[in-house]
Amino acid sequence: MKLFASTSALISGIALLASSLHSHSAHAAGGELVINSMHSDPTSKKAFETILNEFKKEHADIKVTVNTIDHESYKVQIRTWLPNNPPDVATWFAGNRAKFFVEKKLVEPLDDVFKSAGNQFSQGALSAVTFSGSKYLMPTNYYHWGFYYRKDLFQKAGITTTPKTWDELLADCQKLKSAGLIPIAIGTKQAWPSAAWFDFINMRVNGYAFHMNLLEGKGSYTSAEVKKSMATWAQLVKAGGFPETAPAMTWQEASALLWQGKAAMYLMGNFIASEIPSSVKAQVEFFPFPTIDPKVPTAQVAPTDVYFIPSKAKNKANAKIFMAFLARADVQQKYNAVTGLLPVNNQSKIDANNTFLRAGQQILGQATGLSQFFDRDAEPEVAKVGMDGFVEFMRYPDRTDAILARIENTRKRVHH
Amino acid sequence: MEPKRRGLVYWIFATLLLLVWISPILASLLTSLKSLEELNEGHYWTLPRHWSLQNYIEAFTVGKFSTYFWNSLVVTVPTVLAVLFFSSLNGYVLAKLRFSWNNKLLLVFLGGMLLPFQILLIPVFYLSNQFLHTYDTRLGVTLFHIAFQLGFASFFMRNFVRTIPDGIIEAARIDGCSEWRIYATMVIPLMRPALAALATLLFTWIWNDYLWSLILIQSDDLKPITAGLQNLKGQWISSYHLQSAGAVIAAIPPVLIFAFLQKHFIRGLTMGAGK
Amino acid sequence: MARVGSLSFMQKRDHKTAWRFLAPSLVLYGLYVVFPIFFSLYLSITQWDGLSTAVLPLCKNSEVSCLQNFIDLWNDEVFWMALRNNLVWLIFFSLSAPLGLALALFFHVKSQRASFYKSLFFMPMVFSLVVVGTIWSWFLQPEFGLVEFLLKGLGVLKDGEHFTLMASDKWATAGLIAAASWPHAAYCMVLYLAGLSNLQKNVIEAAEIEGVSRWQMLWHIILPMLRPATVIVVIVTMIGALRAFDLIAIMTAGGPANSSNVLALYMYQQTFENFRYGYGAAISVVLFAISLALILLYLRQTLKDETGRS
Repeated sequence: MKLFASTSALISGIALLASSLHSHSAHAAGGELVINSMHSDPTSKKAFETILNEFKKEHADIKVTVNTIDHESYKVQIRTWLPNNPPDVATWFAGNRAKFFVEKKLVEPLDDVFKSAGNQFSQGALSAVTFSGSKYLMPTNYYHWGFYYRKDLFQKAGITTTPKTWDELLADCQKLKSAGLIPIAIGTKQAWPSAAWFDFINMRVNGYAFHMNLLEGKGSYTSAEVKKSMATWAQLVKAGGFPETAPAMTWQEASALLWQGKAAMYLMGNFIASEIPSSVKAQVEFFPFPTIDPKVPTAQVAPTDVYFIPSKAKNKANAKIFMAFLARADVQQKYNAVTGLLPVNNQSKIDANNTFLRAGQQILGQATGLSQFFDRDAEPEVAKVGMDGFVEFMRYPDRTDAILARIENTRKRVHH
Repeated sequence: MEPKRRGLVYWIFATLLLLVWISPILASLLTSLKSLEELNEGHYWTLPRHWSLQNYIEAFTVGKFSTYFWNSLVVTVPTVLAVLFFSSLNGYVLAKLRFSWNNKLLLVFLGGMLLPFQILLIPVFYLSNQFLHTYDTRLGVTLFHIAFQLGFASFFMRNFVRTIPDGIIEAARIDGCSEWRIYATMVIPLMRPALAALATLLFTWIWNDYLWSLILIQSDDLKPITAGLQNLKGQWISSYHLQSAGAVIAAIPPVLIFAFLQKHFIRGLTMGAGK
Repeated sequence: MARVGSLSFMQKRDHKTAWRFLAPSLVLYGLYVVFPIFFSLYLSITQWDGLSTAVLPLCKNSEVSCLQNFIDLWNDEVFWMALRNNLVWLIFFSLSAPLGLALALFFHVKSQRASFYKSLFFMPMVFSLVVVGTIWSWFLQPEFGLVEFLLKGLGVLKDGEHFTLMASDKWATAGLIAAASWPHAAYCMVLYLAGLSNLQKNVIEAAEIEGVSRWQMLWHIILPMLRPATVIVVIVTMIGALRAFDLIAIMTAGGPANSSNVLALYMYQQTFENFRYGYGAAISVVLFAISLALILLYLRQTLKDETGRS
């Protein structure tokens, strides 16, 4: 049995060695700052490095370590390190995704940081980082959603102005269809693009407060209001507004339909702006999601990236210094000059030549409320069942009641 | 049924069949040699106007395939060596030692080889994370692969060791050889073809693993090539040109193994099928 | 081990050596394979969310039944959809066996050219399913894929029509199984070719002299002699059908709207995307139970063969 014992010793030894090499927790007290970031794609990584160099220049005494983890893994992993061995600063999303951690007392309040910088943020932006009266998250950037459309194809179909109302949108779809075009591109192989439609339609039909209440798990998905939203959406589905191949396409593949002139418009987030091929750049423009009920004030979808301090962070003083730094208008301006997104600090300037950004700043500034996006506002389980349901709905609009009942069952189970 | 010589009609039909069979591969190769501009314009299935290896270069530079490739290698090679060593030891015990637990252990190994590994997912994730602290290390994936492959490999080696005549082992024992020496100097040399067959199989399986790296690795810099290939999707717009190049790169090592060690590979796969 | 006392000296020595040789494997195997099975059984009666440090059974300190996860499963539409798809997989994925046999019979030829052709046929077998999934996604893509292009070229699809296989909630699974059968049929082909090369020639010659038809030869003489190969083909096919994960995760992620989901993928989604570890464990236990039934059948068969031979 000696070999047995020595083997187990060997294995635990290896494990121990590995863990000491790996651990995030090995930071000594003093001038340190450990940041976990999920911004792993080249652009946002570069943006973050830009401001980080700035921070290091201003605070040469603080030793900064950054762990960059790719987006999808980060979402899974945060649950394992946040309660046990968290970094000093972490990136995350605003909305319900953050609320979950706030309620578990895993996030440090930032009210003192906002005391000096708070007036530089719009009320809409602050509402996304405030939970039961305290501010917990530092928003650094957001982006707008709306329609990206082909000017030349609209003209070809005889459309002179972009649709301002739902009826105009329906009429334009008809014209585009007669011109042999796919009116609206969408790819639902990953289900989330369908959720943008639900977000917008439900906010336009029933208002921001109703929508947020629903997504927080307090409203019912089988209510007459939600059914009305779905019936509105069904008009567009039944009119053949979307391509039948949508469920087999990713959002990128669907955007190729736009670039190739097969589809005329596309409801997307502004991250698509940097992907427009140069050959069609001159033809692609933006219009916001049309009004459905003129009595309902206009809200927008604006997913917001935030930074926060875990409540078990070891170097909270340094972390607060970093948060105050992130709040600054000049920092957010430099950061988003690289990301191509909108700074949340309203004193930051944006590239005046970028028409998409200007349009975004305008509609978000005027919005009476900002939602984060269905899968950030709703509880993850409800979001999954919901988005799968929307994909099914876009193929079988007549199954609305069954689909809503399924989402409602999940909501009831999750939110007892 | 002795294989017969075949005529021209047969070969024409065989060639057509082959072309259909490998058309998905040809489609990928063709796409991997095209530029994004050409694809964006909708020229998907014509011959490339400009043949270019740009996508391959980009997979390595922008797509970080050199990192992923290295990670796959660092996990695969030690796993294969460790499994060969341990499973041949096990095979020797199970086949040649008078050991009352032999049948029970064989069942345990056999069961592990056939079980749906989904049942292991959460516990292994939990163990690596909370207990062994090997989560998000290449070592963690390696240890798991070694353990899991031992089921099949031990069964495999045991079946081969059984074919060694008992007589020569008994003779060595009577001469006073220790079991370790018998294993190391007699059994291993005789097992060389079986080890080669097993090695090629293991290499392919570990190299091709996706699920376990998904569960046990979080850092992008530690991911193997299969996960890296998945990463190419979604970061760039209509990235089929890069994905195709990535798929070709990820497929090269197992294809090379197969091309050069086909005999061993097939012997490994068909173990038992011909009996 | 009360019997140790009655063992001979040689047996005792063998026992000691055996434990020594097996120790490292048993430690690893016990830790990573045996223990996790029991741990999963336990987790399936908990509601662990991945956050809390203590993992307690559902019925402890609450009125919920310990089997609540299984009750929820019973009422979960997606679970039944996934289970049904697993059965569809079991049935149609098995078609790669006759396909592999047909290819093996067709290519059972001795020549340089034949071995070259065979090598190319075998190639998909060594691809990662991630590679297979990537290649086939592109192949079956409904707007730009090669199949769509060919069908358009042949006039099967008219303008404005599309090859919507993967966009259809009824047919996406068919596309997945086709993709999965591609490497698997090659695998079956290898197994059958090995079987064919070991056939007893005298029986076949005798049958040829008696002038049996080709069909009779295949059905009554060759197939029975290929039985050992068939047993293995059936086993690997069953296991493959139940393990199916990579390909589905890559090609459809279970969509459209879960219509192509299977238990293995649904388990992953519930666990690592929705953080319902207990529920995920319950799904894996069901999957395990199904496989166990199949494995026990196989083990009985193998043991019968083993005892029959020695």
